Amino acid sequence: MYGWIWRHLPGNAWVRAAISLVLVLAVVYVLFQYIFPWAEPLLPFGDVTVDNNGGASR
Amino acid sequence: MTTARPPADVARSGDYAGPAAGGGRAARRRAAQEERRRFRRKRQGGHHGRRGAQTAPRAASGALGAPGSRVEARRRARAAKEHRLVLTSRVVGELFITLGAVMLLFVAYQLWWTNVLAHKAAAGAAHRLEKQWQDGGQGERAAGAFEPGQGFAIIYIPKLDVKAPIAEGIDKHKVLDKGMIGHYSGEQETAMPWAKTGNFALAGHRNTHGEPFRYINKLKPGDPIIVETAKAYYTYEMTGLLPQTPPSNVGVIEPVPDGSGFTKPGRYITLTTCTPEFTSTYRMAVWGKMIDERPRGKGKPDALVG
Repeated sequence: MYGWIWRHLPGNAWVRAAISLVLVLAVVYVLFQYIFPWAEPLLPFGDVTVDNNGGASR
Repeated sequence: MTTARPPADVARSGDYAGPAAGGGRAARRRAAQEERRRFRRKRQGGHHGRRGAQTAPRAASGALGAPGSRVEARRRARAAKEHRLVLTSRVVGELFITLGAVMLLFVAYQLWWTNVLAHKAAAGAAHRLEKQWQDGGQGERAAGAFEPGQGFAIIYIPKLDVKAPIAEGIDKHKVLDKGMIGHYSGEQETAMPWAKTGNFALAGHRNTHGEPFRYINKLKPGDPIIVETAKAYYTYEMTGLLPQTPPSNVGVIEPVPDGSGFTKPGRYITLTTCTPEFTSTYRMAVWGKMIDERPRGKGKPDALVG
């Protein structure tokens, strides 16, 4: 998979390394900005309030 | 390594033109060609294995059939089949490694990045409040007059080095996840600090998103908790703690909280958060009672000066 991506990147090794770095950073950005905030409520350690039905904020 | 060997042998024997490589010039050329061809094929197949590429031509140039024979073709077919297996297993392996890396990133996001964002947001909110109070902005209004999510006070817990803005409502997205403390309001209306009697009930994150209430379990009776509003400083003294209670126990935020030891109506404060850390299984409650109300004009209370 990664080998395939590497082979399909243009340029010499340095250019490819630079592009790979940019790609990795882009993936991390998308994860932090969109995926993780979405996934967070699915995990159960952010509920801090007491409420009547015990599950309103879950 | 293997490519470096023949010259080394040659150098040792001290005989350049001699039959050091064994098979003669034609055999060597054939082996080189074969190696090149194999190498190209392997690159296309995404195969690694410099070792394989180098040991194979030796076998090919050996006694076992010329290149292109049926034996060789069969061997090649077998090798190609192996490639596919190796290829799929490598993709699966890489996916697993990726999954592991993403999980580590998620942990980093939760434990570090949410705090970075929340601290920034909370510091900004606290700063705006202070500025607004300095400019002599809107004064105290009756409870319920604040918009949900609007900051209206700042809480200080000197022992824990906590300073965080308090906002109306306990909405996760609007208040708690921004590192602010939520004041129970709306459906679960609780008193404001300036009310004659009542329980000023707050909720805050124990972990992640600024985690303002992370260490409230370390508070001891007598520790001060100060709430600063537009007009006054309200100093509370910690009186008791409920280490663990089900999330449905709304009694802890009642005007005279259940289990707090208070018997008469008074001016109380309740901090709720989740426990044990990194779970939402139970809630923890910390109670305090007001010991001092000091108008802003008189300056900061002793607990904040000392």
